[in-house]
Amino acid sequence: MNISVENLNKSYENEEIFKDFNMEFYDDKINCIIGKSGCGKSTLLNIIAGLTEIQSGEVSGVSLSDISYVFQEDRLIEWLTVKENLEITLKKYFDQSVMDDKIDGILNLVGIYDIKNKYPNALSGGMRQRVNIARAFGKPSKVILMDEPFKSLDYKLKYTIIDEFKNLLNKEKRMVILVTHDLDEAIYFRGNIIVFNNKPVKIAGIFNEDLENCKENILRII
Amino acid sequence: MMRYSWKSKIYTLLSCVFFIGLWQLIAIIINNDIYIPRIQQVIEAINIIFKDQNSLKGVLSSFYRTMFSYGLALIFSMVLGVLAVVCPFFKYLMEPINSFGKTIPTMVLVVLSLVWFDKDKTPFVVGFAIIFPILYEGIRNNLMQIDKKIIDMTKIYEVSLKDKIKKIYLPTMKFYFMSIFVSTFSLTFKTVIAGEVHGQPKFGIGSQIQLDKVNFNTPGIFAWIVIIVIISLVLEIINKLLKKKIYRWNR
Repeated sequence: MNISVENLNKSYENEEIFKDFNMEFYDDKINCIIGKSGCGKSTLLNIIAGLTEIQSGEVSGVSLSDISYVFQEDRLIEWLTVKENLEITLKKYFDQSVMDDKIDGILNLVGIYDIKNKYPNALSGGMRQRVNIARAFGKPSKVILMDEPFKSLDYKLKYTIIDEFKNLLNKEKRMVILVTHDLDEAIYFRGNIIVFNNKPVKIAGIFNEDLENCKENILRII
Repeated sequence: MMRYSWKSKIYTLLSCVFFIGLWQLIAIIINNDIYIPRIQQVIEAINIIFKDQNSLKGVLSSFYRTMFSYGLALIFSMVLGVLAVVCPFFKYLMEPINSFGKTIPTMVLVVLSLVWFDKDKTPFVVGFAIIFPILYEGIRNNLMQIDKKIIDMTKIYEVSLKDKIKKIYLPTMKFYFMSIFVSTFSLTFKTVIAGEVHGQPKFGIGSQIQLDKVNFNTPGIFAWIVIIVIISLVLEIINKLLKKKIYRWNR
């Protein structure tokens, strides 16, 4: 599966974010989009997800049912337990008779089975983000969009969760489009690194090999 | 926290004792129960009210009218609140009715209700008309303030409208309702009683108060005030218990 963004035009008030922007994402890859804060990275994700309207252009190769989204904030419903939070988002894709097993399975995968009957309020930031990831993997999607999901986590926890995420991805192959402003995080994923700069957005470079040695280069063009 | 809570309760109690004492002092100084009755006269009047079958019927009738008006206003507010959020047409449709309902004086409503309906229906109509705009606007605004990010999340995971209403909109309304229940129910109760004072249905606290007024029975009027305050206190306790149950996720 490929996702194509063609002739995209998007502006907020008088500021042009995308002007005749074209881009392609390829199957089973982790695509890390990196760029300065506010350069339009999250906007692109929201456009692909259909959450942001565009002036003109087209996103093809993907529909809403193909997409999962790991948001920057976990977006859990506070008055529902972890199990209920997952249940409401997976209801469309699984029969009620298999729902419990499905939820137990995902929670086991991300190592948080024990907290399934807890309310989000009782969970740490890391736990909440794991539920956010579990929700994305629970949906039988082809693409996972991730908008700086590790931003609020401390250094150690961040890399623990990234490792867990990569393990999950090895078990269940999906295309990932990740937005981040942290180059080390992008390198750690060992996928494609797509560098955005300027406004309207331009692709300043795509890196996929020998990432450690490209670091200087990437920093120069961001 | 516990210590602070007890301390504040003791201070509130002391404040109540102070004002009751002040009341008794003024009553003794004035020495005319038509203006201000003494505490013992009010207790005696409460005793009489409790012994009288008609008084009990009055309390129950007023309570029934309040519950009915409030319940109806709540159902309408919830349905129209959800419709206003889901379909903006309803929001604009309700705008003038809501503005009118909020600004019209209670007395004008009472008089109009007496002209248009019979005296038994007036308290219902007035209770409903006063509380509906407040509940509707509150519920609608509360629903509109639901985090857009949560709504976006439900779009991505294709949550059905039925589940959105059941798991997001209804709980949001429930939390809002719990925060305003005592104040709005008390307001309806007071409005229904005002409607009864003017409409004079056969049974009702308002009808009894009007009767006491005609007979210059000020201790009787004070007794009704005490009964109304007690009913409000009971409501507040029920509300607190319900809140504890409903907000268990926030502990």
